[in-house]
Amino acid sequence: MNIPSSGQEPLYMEVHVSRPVLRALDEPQVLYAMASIQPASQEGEQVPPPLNLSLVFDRSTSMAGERLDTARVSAESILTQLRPQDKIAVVTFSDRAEVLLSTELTLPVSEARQRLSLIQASGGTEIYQGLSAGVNQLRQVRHPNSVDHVILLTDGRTYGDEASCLQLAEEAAQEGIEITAMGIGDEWNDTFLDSLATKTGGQAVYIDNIAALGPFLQQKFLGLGQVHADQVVVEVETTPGVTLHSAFRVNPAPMPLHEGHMLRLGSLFAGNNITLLMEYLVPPITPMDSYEISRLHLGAHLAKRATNLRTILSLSLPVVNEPVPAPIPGTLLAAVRNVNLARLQEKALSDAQTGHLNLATTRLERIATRLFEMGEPDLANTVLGESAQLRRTHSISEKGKKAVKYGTRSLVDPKHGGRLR
Amino acid sequence: MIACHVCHTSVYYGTLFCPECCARVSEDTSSPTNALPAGRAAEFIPPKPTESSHAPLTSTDNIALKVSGNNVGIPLFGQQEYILGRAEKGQAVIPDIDLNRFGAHEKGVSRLHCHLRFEGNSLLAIDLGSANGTFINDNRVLPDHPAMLSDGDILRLGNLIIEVTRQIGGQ
Repeated sequence: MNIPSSGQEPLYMEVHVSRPVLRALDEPQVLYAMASIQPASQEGEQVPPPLNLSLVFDRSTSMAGERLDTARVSAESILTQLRPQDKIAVVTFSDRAEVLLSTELTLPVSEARQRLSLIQASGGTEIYQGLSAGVNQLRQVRHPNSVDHVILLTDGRTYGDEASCLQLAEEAAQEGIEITAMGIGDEWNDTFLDSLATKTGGQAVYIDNIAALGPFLQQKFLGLGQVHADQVVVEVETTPGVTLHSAFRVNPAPMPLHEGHMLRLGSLFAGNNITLLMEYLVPPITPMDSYEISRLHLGAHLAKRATNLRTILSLSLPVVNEPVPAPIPGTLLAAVRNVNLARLQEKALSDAQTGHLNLATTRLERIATRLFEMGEPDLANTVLGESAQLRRTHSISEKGKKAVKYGTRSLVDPKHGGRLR
Repeated sequence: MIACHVCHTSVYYGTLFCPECCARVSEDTSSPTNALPAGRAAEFIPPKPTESSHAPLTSTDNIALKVSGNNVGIPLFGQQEYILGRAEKGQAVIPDIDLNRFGAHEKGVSRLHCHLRFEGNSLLAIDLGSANGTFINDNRVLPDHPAMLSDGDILRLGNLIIEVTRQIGGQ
């Protein structure tokens, strides 16, 4: 079943649901809804919006060598591609932050490169220092028609300032600043970077192989320069008694969404769509012609037009006594299956951390079974390997944990899965 | 609540995949899909995909489905698409090809199991999220990945084996 929003808006949202009707039951029932947000029609030629980009690089001791060199080269490459309307900041941090390039001062490329060449690795990892300086750089140049984005790159754990970082991300989101959080290697805190990115509608990325950093940053830079809309948000207003059980961004950059009814979805890139999977729990109901499950308030910043969009879509279905079996759209079915696997994996890793080893290994083996069924033997074997290690050593490695987490998430959207190898 | 047919976890009506084992949940309590035995993970390793040596089927062919153990061919004629499954009493969407007479229930066929569709000049098979899966020559067909059918391919719905053939000289 397909419920489109009104066609006159610059963005179009259509919703597919798992069943054409609800059933009159004296117990709760589940309904899945997959919302796809896309440009409504040909927008015509418009000037791309200005991009304010803040690159925030960890320069702690562990970043020395190839990691920092690759980050520097990637930043230099972006410098040479800036359009006249774009502004860039490069911030490095260890125990404190340094603004190497400021959004307020445009330097000749040769001088900017020279400044980047001064980056030296030393000290610890205090992410708040860098993130705060990076966000402030954007605050100084924000404009109603600009796209404002922070890319944070780290290979370590920050201690003692996680709450401040999350608070800052919350404030940044409200100001229209999105954060992409990239973790290199195995030692960074995936749960923290996930939260940081999710709060702003951004993306957490696992960089397994440093060689993947340059192409990713390049792609991100080009995409951000051509966004159709940013700060895309769906506020889910549910009918009393209905619960939004979970929400997951399926595409791009699959991620569980922050708990609550305000779902920040990030940027809508030209030529793409944003897909969101919601699972509702509907209370016991009696037959009726139309039952409104929820209203979806779609909001977005249309940088090209320097305006904000708000539109509402009502999700309503009839309630009948008998089940009405109907084919389920393949994309919805696959999304529910893959999101389910990603969630089971989260539960298994949480079990492992809390010492429930039998439950963790059972769940990991069940995931492996489904992965084999789906024709994903490499990932299935990785999951089985971690399960075996968990049995043997009673712990799961950081590398294994990230391989399972971001590998499973990659199934949801293979193009933007969040693991770069 | 309904029970997952694999791990028996109780889930709410409408749940599509079991949150505990990720098996497809059949909500069809009046005539649930028969669960086929599921072994350990390694048993699910699919065989390496093999290229079909047969010619792809096209919309101009006279195509028939031959269920294993039966000599009668079911012609695919006059429609662009067919849903294969089991028709049960009170079912709102009836499959175009009802496989009940071939022991579909015992063989783990879902009520709405598989979709065959002519697209362009090809015949495609799409799994409809069946509990026991759709396979072409033992390679699993996923709900979001339509697979092309060729003459002589073995289409398996759960444990029900169907040969897809081109009829020479009409049906």
